Amino acid sequence: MNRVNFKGNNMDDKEIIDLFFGRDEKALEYTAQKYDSYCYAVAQKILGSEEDAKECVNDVLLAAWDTIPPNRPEKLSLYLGKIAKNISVNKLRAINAKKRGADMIKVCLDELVEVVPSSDDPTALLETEELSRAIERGLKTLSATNRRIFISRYYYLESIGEIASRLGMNENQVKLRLSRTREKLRKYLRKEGLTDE
Amino acid sequence: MNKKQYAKQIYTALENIDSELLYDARAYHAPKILPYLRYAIAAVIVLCVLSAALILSAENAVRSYITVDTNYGVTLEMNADNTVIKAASIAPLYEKAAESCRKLSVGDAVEQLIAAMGERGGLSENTNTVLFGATSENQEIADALIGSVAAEDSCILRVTITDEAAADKLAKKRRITMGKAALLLSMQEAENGINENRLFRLTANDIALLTQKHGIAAENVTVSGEPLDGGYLTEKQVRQIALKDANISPENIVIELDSDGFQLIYTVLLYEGDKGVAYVISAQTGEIQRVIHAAVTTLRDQLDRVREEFGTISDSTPVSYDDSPTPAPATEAPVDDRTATEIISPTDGERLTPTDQDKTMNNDSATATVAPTESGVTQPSTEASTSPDSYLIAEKWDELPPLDDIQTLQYEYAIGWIEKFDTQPYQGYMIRNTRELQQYIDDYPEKEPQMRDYFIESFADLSLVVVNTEENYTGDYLNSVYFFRRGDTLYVGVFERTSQTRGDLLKTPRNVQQHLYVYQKDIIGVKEIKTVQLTYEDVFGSELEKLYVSPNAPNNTLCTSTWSDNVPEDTFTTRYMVNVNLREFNQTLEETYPMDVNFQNKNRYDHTAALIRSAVELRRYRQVIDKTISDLPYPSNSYMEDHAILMTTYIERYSIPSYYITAWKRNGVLYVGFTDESSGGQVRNFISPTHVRVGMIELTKEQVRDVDRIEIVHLTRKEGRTGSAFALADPW
Repeated sequence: MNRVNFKGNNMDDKEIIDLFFGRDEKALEYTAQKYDSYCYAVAQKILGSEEDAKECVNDVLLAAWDTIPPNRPEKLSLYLGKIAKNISVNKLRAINAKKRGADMIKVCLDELVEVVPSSDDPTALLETEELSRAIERGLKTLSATNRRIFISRYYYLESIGEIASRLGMNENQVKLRLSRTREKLRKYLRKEGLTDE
Repeated sequence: MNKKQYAKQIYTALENIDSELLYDARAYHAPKILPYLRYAIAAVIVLCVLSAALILSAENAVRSYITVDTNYGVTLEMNADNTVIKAASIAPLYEKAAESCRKLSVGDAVEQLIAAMGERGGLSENTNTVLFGATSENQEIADALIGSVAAEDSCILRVTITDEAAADKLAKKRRITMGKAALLLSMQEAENGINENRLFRLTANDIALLTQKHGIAAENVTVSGEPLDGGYLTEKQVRQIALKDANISPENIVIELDSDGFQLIYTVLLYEGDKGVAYVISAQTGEIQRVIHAAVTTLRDQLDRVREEFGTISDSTPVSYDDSPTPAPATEAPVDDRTATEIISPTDGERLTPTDQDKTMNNDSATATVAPTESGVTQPSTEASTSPDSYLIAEKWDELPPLDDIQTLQYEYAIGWIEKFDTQPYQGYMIRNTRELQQYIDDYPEKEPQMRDYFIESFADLSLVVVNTEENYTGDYLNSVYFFRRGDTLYVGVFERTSQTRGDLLKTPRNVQQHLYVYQKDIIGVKEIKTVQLTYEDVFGSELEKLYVSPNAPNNTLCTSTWSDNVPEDTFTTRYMVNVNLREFNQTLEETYPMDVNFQNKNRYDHTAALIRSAVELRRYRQVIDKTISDLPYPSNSYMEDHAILMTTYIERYSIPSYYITAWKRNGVLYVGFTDESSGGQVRNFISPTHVRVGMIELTKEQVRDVDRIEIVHLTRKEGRTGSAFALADPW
């Protein structure tokens, strides 16, 4: 994507969005000029790799083009930032899954079995969307540290050592917190009626 | 959907959660130490190394304490650097976790302990409370620790140990942590009428519940968060229990949560006119422990007098078990020296004929089998028939009076809550509930390692009788133990096998303890336990069958026995009732073969059958059969609430299959038929058995309610194959 026109930096978000709605490709140009660095920073924080982050930024612009319209965001920075986060987190998960291989996923899945609440009610059903919302609510009840550890492990497939290093803890602490968090989530899901039957 | 599929779904579902959460998790990095600070740290390390000799001597000096309690607790002793130099727990459950805390930082140690307590049941769905105790200089550390381990739904009781000496003294006396001791001392000071006697056995959760309920504001104690309800009955439920029993319409009801020293209880006062009734009710089970009728004006005082007795143990009574034999009681109590044989009179029914050797053996030992009590002779209850043959007949449990005051025991060695019976030659304990079991484990951790599993598993409705008996080197019990009850006396009958049945295997007998389970509701009202030595005739005579196999007995009839009774050579039909199919056959039985549980018997068909009607019996069965057969699938305890299982075993020789097993019922007799499917239905007498096979047939309790006894039958192929009951039999 060429970014030589500096006009975008001075444009109002509303004007840029109007260009999106007019399907004028200049919308992308001005968006890139204004928010490229920002999106790059967001992606880089997750992905850690310059190359992956740049690729992510391109994906962000494309996603913006595909979704505006019909969306008309009030604040473009927030909107783009959200897309950047979504794309970068998904990308990292895919990268890690590929890099670490099926073994790591299997290990994580084996651990996640502990989160599965057993059912006394065989009629309880399981819907993915419902499960996502429940997990989200459950995660929000946790402390920030425990939530970060859980997500780092089971979403990003990070090793215990990596998590410990990044969060400034020792591995034992990470393991303990993970174990407790799994138990808490298990209880939470059970309380929500989302059981394994 | 199985758990793995569900786990995968969770993994997938994480993709759809709020990306802000996902982003934050990855974006966060703990602040790193700036480069130049590394040098500063290195310098400090060098200094530390240079001062190593001086520091080493100070390092091991205990500077402070932190205690962590859920039910039992752990005491951490730290040095000046807040490194754990010693960690101790009286609870074997936490011993290992405590030991592994040594040399850890206090933060890591506490996290580890909390995790262990969560795993071991100290924290659970019903209990969320942790009691932290810290000596004064450790308050900041305690703050930090609590912050790091407290979950959003935790309840934290926090106590500052200001008087270490007093706390230490009480802690040693009551075998609790200093933190708990300090808490109890503070509560005693804050509230008149509280005695630590009634609190020291309680869990942190229970103490928090009481504190909250009564608004106790003890100095140096803070409570944050809400304790969980402990899975206890609600006030509403307890009110209904009391009202139902009292059968009155009171004008006023007062319900209070309290402790009887061992568990949480409710006291319920009902006022009607000028009369009142007070109840003491277990908060856990709803069992009515005490009923007091009195005038309104005196009811509260009378209840308070009862409450004064709560939890009382004489300070001179050590909380330990004394192995020494019971000295003869000083009182001149008349002795009931009838043997059990005399007590049970023969019936008109068929009796087995013991061998002469059996008779000699048993008669020699069957003297003075009923021990005198400390306070008086044991009399049959007044409503019993005066004829001896009804003396030991089991009664229906729901007709028994409610538990009165089981702490008042008639044994010399009643230790706290654990009842011990000590009638020569057999000794043992009755352990009535989880707390007593924990105390027993605490006192004898080396003796009962397997108890820990029982502790964690469901012990809510079971009690345990531990009897000291013997076993031979193959692990077979040499004594069979039976329970039966009359009035408020529980008899533990022990049958010593004859030399014939003990056989030459009796090389190196060793003392063992048999663990036998009874339902707690079946021992309601028991005030004393006696051992009775049983003779051959007692055990194999039809009278004993009545003792625990009553045609109309409910499924919780108190009857236990070790399953591996060594049945003598004579023809004998099993005493056990088996659950099984409902079909009735009109076939004529061609042969009746005896049950023989001795797997080493070479010239028998070695078929066995047992009816397992409850979780208690299933557990008992497992104790024996698991020695022989591994990897046997067993139903769950909850399944056993509505079902019963026919367990059959037979010997498979040279891996040749084997038998069809069918069962049918006729006139209260349950027949278990083995059809030999090998070589045209002829039963072969092989020399060397290879291994034991097991068959399981599942039935409902309803199906076997009217079964009196079972018989094992050998069917020919023709008989077996024309039967329509094979749907219930698994061919092997």
